[in-house]
Amino acid sequence: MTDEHALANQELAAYAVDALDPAEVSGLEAHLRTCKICQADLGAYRRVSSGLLSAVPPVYPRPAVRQLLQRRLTHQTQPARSAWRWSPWQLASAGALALIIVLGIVSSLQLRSLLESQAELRSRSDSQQIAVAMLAYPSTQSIGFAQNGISGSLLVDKQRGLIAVFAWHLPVPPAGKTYQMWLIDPQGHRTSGGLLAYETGYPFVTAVITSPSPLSNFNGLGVTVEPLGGSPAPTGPRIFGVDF
Amino acid sequence: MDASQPAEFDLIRAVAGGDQQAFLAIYDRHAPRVYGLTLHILGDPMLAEEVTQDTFLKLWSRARSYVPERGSFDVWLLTIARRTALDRLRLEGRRPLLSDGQDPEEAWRSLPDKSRDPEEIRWESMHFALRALPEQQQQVLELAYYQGLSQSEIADELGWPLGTVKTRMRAAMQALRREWNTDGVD
Repeated sequence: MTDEHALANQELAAYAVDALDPAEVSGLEAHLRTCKICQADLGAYRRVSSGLLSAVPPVYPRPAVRQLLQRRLTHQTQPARSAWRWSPWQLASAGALALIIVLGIVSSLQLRSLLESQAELRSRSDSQQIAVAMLAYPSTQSIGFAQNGISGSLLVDKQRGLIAVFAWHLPVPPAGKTYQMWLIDPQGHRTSGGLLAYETGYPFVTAVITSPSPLSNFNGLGVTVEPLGGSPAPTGPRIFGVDF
Repeated sequence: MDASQPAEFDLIRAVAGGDQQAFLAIYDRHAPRVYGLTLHILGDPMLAEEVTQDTFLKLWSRARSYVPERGSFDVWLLTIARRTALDRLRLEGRRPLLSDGQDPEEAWRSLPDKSRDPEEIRWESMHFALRALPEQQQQVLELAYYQGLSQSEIADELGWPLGTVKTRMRAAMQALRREWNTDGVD
C-alpha cells in the first residue's frame, strides 16, 4: 500500500459526506480513478451516506403544505417531451399565427399597463387615506420598528381587522422580485397580507392589510422578497418582522 | 407497501407524463421523510415547508431524469431535498439548532405500515446506530452532513484541531459502515 493510497483511503469517509475541503478533493478524485480498492470503499461509505438521509425521523407536514403545493403546481410547467418536426407550410402558418398573437399581446399589454398604473395609483391613494384615518381610531395601536436599516411603524386596529404598514428606507427589490407581507399566527403559519409595492422616488412605502380572519388570530407581521405577483407561501428571505 | 397501491416506478413514470394525481400520491408517500429531513437541516418549520414544496416541484419537473438502475427513488428524492435545504441554509446565512425538538421514537412510531416495510426498519436501524455513536462523533457528522460544513469549517466551529475532526469523522463513518453494511449490502 503506497502513502498516496493510504492518505486517499483516509479521506474517503469525509468525501462521501461532502465534508472534504475543496483543496483536497481533486487529489482524491485523481487517485479514485485508478484505485479499485478505494472505489469499493467509497461505494460502502456512499451507502452509509444514503442511509443518513433516512436516519432523521419522519415528520408529517401540515395539510396546508399539500394544498399550497397543488396550487404552485398549476403554475409549473414540465419540460417538453420531444422535439416536433414541422413541414414548411406548417412553419409558415405557425409564423403568421405567432405574428398575429404577438401584435395582439403587445396591444393588450399596453392597455393593461395603463389600467394597472391607474389601479396602482388609486390603490396607493386609498391606502394612504385609510392609514391616516386609522390614526384617529381610538382602538388603533401603534408599534414602531427598526431592523436591517428599515424603520417604520404598524398601525394595528384589531377591532376592524386592519393593519397599516409604514416602512422607510426599504431597499429596491432585486430585479423580477417584489415585497410581500405575511400575517403570522402563534403556530408560525403564514397568511398572505398582499404585496408591499415599492416605488422609486418615494422615501417610504405604505400598505394597508385587511385581515382575512379576525386579527386576534395573528400576532406578527413579516415581509419577504418574492417573485413578481407574490407567492402562495413565503419563499424568499425575510426583510423585517414585527410582533403585535 | 400495500399490494393494492400502484408500484412506485409506475407512479414516477406517470408524474413524468404530467399526471398530477400520481404526483400527489408520491407526495403522500414521501412528504414525511422529506419534511423530516428538511426540518432537521433548517430547524425552522416555515423554511422546511418551503423547501419541501421546492423539492417536490423539482420532482415534478425532473421526474424523467430519475434512473432506477442508479439507485432507489427514496435516496434520489431525499438527496434533492438535502441539497435544496443546504442551499437554502447558505442563502439565509444562518445555522439552526442541532436539535429539531422532535421526539424521534414517537415519530418513528407514527409511520404507517412500518411493520410491513423492511426498508423502514433498516432506516430506523441507521437512526439508532447514529445515536449510539460517541457524542463528539455525532457532532462531527451532524455538522458535515446535515449542516453542509467541511472538516475545516467544523474545526473552526467546534474549536477542535483539524486532525481531531478528521479522526472523529473517520471513526464515525467506519462505525456506521460496519453497522449499515452487515446485512449483505457490502
